[in-house]
Amino acid sequence: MEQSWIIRFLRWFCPPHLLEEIEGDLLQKFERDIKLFGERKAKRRLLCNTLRFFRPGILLRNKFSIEHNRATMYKSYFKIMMRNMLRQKFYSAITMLGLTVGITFALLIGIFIWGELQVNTDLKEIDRLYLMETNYKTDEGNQPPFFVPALLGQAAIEQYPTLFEKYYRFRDRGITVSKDDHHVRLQSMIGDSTFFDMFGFRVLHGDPQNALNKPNTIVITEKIARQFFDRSDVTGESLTVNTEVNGLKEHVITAVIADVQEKNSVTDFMNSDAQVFLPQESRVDFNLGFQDEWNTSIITYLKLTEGTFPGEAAATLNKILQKDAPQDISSDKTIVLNPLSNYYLLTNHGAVQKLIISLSVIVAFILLLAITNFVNISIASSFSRLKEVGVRKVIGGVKRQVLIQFLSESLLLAIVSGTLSLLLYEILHHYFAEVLGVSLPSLLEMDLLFWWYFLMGIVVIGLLAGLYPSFYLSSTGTIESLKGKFNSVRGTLRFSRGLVGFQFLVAVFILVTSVVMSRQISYFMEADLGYDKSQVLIVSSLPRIWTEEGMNKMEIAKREFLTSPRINSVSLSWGSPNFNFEPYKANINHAGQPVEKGILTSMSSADEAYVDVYGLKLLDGKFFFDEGEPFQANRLVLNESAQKVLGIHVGDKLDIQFSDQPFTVAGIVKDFHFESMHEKIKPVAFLHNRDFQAYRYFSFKLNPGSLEQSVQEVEQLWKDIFPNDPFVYAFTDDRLAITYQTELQLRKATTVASVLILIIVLTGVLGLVSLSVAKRNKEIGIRKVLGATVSNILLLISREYAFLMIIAFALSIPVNYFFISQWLSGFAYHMEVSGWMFIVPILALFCITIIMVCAQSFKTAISDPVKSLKHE
Amino acid sequence: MSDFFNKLYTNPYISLTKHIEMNKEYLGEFEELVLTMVGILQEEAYGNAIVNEIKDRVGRTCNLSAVHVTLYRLEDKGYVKSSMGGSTNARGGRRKRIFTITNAGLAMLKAMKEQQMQLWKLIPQLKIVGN
Repeated sequence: MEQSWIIRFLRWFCPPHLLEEIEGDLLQKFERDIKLFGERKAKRRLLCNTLRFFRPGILLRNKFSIEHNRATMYKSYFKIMMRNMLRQKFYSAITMLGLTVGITFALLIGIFIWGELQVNTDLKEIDRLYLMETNYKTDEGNQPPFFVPALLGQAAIEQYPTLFEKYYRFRDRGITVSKDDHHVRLQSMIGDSTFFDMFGFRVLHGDPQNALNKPNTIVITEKIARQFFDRSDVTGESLTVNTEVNGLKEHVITAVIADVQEKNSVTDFMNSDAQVFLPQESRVDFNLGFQDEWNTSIITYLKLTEGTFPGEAAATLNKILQKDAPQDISSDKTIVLNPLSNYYLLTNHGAVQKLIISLSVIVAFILLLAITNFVNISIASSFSRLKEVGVRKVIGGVKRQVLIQFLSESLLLAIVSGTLSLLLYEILHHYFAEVLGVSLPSLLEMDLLFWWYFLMGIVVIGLLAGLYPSFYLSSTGTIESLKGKFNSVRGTLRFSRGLVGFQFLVAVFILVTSVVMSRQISYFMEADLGYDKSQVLIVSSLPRIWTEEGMNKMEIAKREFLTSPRINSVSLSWGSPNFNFEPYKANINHAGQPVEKGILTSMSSADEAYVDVYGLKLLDGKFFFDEGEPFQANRLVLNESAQKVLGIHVGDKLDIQFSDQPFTVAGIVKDFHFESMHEKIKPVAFLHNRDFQAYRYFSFKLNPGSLEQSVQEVEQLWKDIFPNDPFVYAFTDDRLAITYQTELQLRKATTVASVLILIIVLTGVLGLVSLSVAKRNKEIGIRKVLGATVSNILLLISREYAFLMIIAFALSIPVNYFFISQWLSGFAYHMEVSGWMFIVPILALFCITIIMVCAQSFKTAISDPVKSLKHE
Repeated sequence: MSDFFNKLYTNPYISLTKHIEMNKEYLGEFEELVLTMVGILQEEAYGNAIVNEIKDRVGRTCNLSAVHVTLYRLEDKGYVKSSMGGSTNARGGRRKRIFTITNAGLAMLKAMKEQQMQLWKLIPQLKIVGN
């Protein structure tokens, strides 16, 4: 045919699958055209029509479908994944459960840590704020490190304005603030007028420039304003402050500040939670000395000028101290500057930082275990997926596609688990905050940065969990996958076994640790403290009138309290055991001998009823006086430790540092735990309140009966006797629990952690068992054919795990023992570590695991060998 | 559930299909024409026949390649499906690709017609202007 070159041209450019129909249509039209127009014209038309097919819609038709396919592929991945998950509901549930539990726990701890790291960040220009601290050259008779000479900050600003920009100094006092009949006990800060400018606290009402520079003025937080007046705009109103020296005094409110971040190192310094602020002029009312003297101790914050190195600033401060301060003040100390930005984390020997680090480690472990689990179960359940991979590869899937498929599966699972965890967190955070005694904010309060971290964490978890299984599945050869054979079963099993062994190791470690912690804390709570802590009520809100007159007034009050049949005895004292026991420490020695060479003793004050209220055991002499005996000055009572070290007896005379008169030993009490059991019992000396001229607490020993009614009765009496003071009380038992708060929290945390870890480990074992049972299906069949019984087979499978556990336990015991001994050595009084604390958890874990292994493999063990053998 | 949706689709008073389909895809004028022809021609719908049908019924001359490309596009969108027919002598033994309209295509056509009718009704017609 003459038109053939046109058709050849068509064949050249037209995609093969479209050629036949197009060629047919063109030829049909050509034949028709010949009839209608004749051959010449028809030929021209054919050429014209053919050329018109030379267009993208035809030429590129092959490539059109590719974009289309990708979305379809992902759809198919998703569908297959859902089918697999639904088919293996049990495994899917376990995988999701482990991951969700792990992420939820990580969220709870992570948000707590996040909160701890946010402390102080609200303070203005935090990177230039520093707290002065004193380093003493000797360690005897020292004040707390945060007290520095009062004049130092002021001198620094005056002499070196290029280095130092501002300072704020304060002393804290617990004071009673009243409005008519409404009395509240509050923590106050008595300090400089630079308070607002220095830290950037937001002033709601009043003029911050003149708020704290006149006597008898007071600044309060919004919370307190609402408490007293039900509104925040209260400048010009006045509140009554019960001062220690000058009695009740009216104070005018000059400013109201917005509530401050709950935790910070200024108003919440040493957890004091100050809500009211008084000017330096108020110092005289509270007997705090003057702020412009070298020998007054004060807490000082400094703000450095921009670009000043803290090292240079500290050196300058020491130079000023040595040059200007009197010899007796400057000689024994150096000044250091602590940046406020990390003060909260590093104070108290870095307690918070240590807590954060150990919590992070626990979280990392739990997450790691959850991921491990995911990996194990994915490998185990990937059996059924292997054929799918084979089919995908046969019909043209490449390795990369399979990899992407499985990675996106694990990523999706991680995202779903993460979402579930967020829900769980919202539901659980109140409960956990309560149990652990910390504050956990709602997720709605978290800022954007947190969400970035969370998202990143989820992606990392998803990738970590999916990496090994997907590499492993995608790299299996096509033929092997189709046959359902793993390419290196031994390698995979070894890997999985290693992971499970590691899980056992961690599980035993956590279990034993939590048992030991729990025992040690019970030991604390049940131990004989040397005093009777039951039924003792401590009231801390009494007026502090530290004069002879005040003492007499308290004496009368005591007698009035004793008229109640519900009160057994009443004591006035400085502190109670485990609750602000001693005001200071001093050296004591035999009279006439150099007192500096004596022993460092905790000095406390009490009255003669103290021994009855707290049930102390008197070994010798009397507790100050016998009943009815008139007061005699300068008597003291020692504890057994002090008496033994000094070798002193009742009736002997003692010298006390900072005191010019000798004291007579009136009695010796048996040692009791006045500090936490972390500490060894130290020497104690009681002075009488009247000699000491100070007191802080009333302690009531209640008679047996309804506690509630007794408290009501005491409160009623209190209101009659002290109408101007609130009734703030605590029970000794509760105070003791606060002393061991960290340990109690730790116990709860380890209990939660051990439950979680048990769940995760056991599910992990479950996954591995099913993997190895499925793997050895044929072997089991052959063994059964050759005469093995069901119990033979169970033994065969569980032996492997028993072996794994024994190795893990053997490895963990020494490490664990070392760790526990270290932890226990932090307590001066602790129980002995005994064998059962290791044996019981190990045995329990062992038995549970073996039972689970047997239960899981039982189905295979009883199955018909014919079925497993005929399966290829 | 599926029963419920079927009823919805077939109920002429509920124009659910219209919304669904109109949101998803849009048909050009020529596409609509070709789709209609596929619907009319039934078993005889292939490239050449459609060109002729358009010529006969609408009097519009159109290009064979344009019809082909449109048919492929409609197939991509899921409004027609195709299969190869039997061979005839008339075309030098080449087989025809026969297109048939799918349910989705039919629903789409219907939706478009309804929409056009609705718009049409809004035009004031045959008003006798009295003066």
